[in-house]
This record gives sequence, structure tokens and C-alpha cells, in this order.
Amino acid sequence: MIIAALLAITLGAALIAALVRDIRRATLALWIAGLGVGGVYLTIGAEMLAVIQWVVATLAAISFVFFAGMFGEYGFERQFFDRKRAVFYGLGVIAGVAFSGVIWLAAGETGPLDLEIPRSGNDLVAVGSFLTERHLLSLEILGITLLMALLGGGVLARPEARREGDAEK
Amino acid sequence: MIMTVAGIIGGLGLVCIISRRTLLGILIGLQLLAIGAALVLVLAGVASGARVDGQVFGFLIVLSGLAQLAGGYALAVRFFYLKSKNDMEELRSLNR
Repeated sequence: MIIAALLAITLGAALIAALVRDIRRATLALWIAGLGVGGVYLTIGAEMLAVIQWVVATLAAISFVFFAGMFGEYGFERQFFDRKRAVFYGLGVIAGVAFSGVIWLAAGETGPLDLEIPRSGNDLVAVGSFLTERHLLSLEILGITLLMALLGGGVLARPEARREGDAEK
Repeated sequence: MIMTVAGIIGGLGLVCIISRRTLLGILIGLQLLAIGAALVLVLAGVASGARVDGQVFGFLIVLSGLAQLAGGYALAVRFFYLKSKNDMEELRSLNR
């Protein structure tokens, strides 16, 4: 019952985030979707993932609000539905339906979904040891990717240095 | 049923990525896609009896979403700094 309510909230918020025109409202809906999916993780006994999802969703929402404010009027889309871009809307809907359909088909192939939390307690220790013993390389690659994203972001967002020749022109 | 809902969330992210025109809108779509994909992997792990594997892959997806946020924001700042615009249709180059 709780998980159904959380999923309904998440789905509604995702729908609003995907379709609403105002970026700030879309950001709020995205934050609610992130909190809702974190609640789903908590309900099925994935506490670590729940906390990380909440932190990431909140960070993303704060940054989106900051950038929407910084861009001002550019935070709004001038015209969400544009006849010239009807092909893109059609492609988007087809891709979304195809993605959902593939997941729906694959869900039928998996076993029954037992959402009860294991009697042995939470999976925190198991996740930690699994991550460091069997997926250490994945963790390292993730760390390097985040570092490169940080460095690349710093380089991309740097103010442009004026060359001496430009001033003379 | 629950996995289908997760798939629909990811599908909405795809719709958002393809149909929106601004960079922030596209980043919102990417976040939705990451949320849906991570939820699908976690639930698939539960369904197949490999709870921990699903959680670890969900963990990796959620954190790699941070990398796309950092890159996307840097691109947005650069583009806005250069042209005072945020419309992706006008993004052809990062030079003046």
C-alpha cells in the first residue's frame, strides 16, 4: 500500500516534470519524483540507495532552481508545442513508449517481485562488501568519471581570456 | 506492475529529452531517465534474487547522474556566458 502510494506520487511528479513548460515547476516536480523513488528504495530495504537518491535529487533540484533563476526568462521555453517540431514530439513519444514496452515485456520474464525486507536485516553490509570486493573497478571508474566531469566543467565554464590582439581590433 | 511504472518514468525522461528545447529541460529528462533506469535495475535485482547486485548497479547509475549534471551545467554556463541564450537549437559551437 505504501509502495503503491509512493509510486503514484513519483509517477505523477515525473509526468509533471516531463510535460510542464515552466522549468522551475518542472524542477520541483523532479525533486518530488526523486524523493518518492527514494521512499520506494527505503520501503524495499535499500537504505543506502534511498539516502543517496535523496541527496542527489535535492542537490539537482537546488542547482536547477539556481540556474533557472540565473537564466531568467531563458528558464522558460518560449513555446513548448511547436508544429515545426512535431516530428521530434512524435519521436519522443515513440521512444518513451518503446522504452516502457521493453521494460514491461522484460518484467514478465523475471520472477515474482518479493518486496519484503529480508529477515537478516538490511543489505548495507552486503552492499558495501560487494561494492569493494567485486566491483572495485566500477567504483574506480565512477570516481574518475566524476573527477573528469568536475575538471571538464571547470574548464568549460571558465571566463574567456581576452588576447592582446582582440583589444587592438 | 511496479517495474512497468519504473519503465514509464524512464520513458517520460526520453520524451522530455527529445521534445524539450532548452538545456535545463534536457537535463531534467536525463535525471528522469536515470531515476527510471536505476529503479528498474533495483527491482530486477529483487525479482531475480540478486538484491545486492541490483542495488550496486542502481548506486552506480544514480551517482553517474551527477557527472551529467556537472557537465550539463558547465555547458549551460559557457553557452549563456557567450551568447546569453539557453536554446539548444542555437548551440552549434562553443566559440563566440
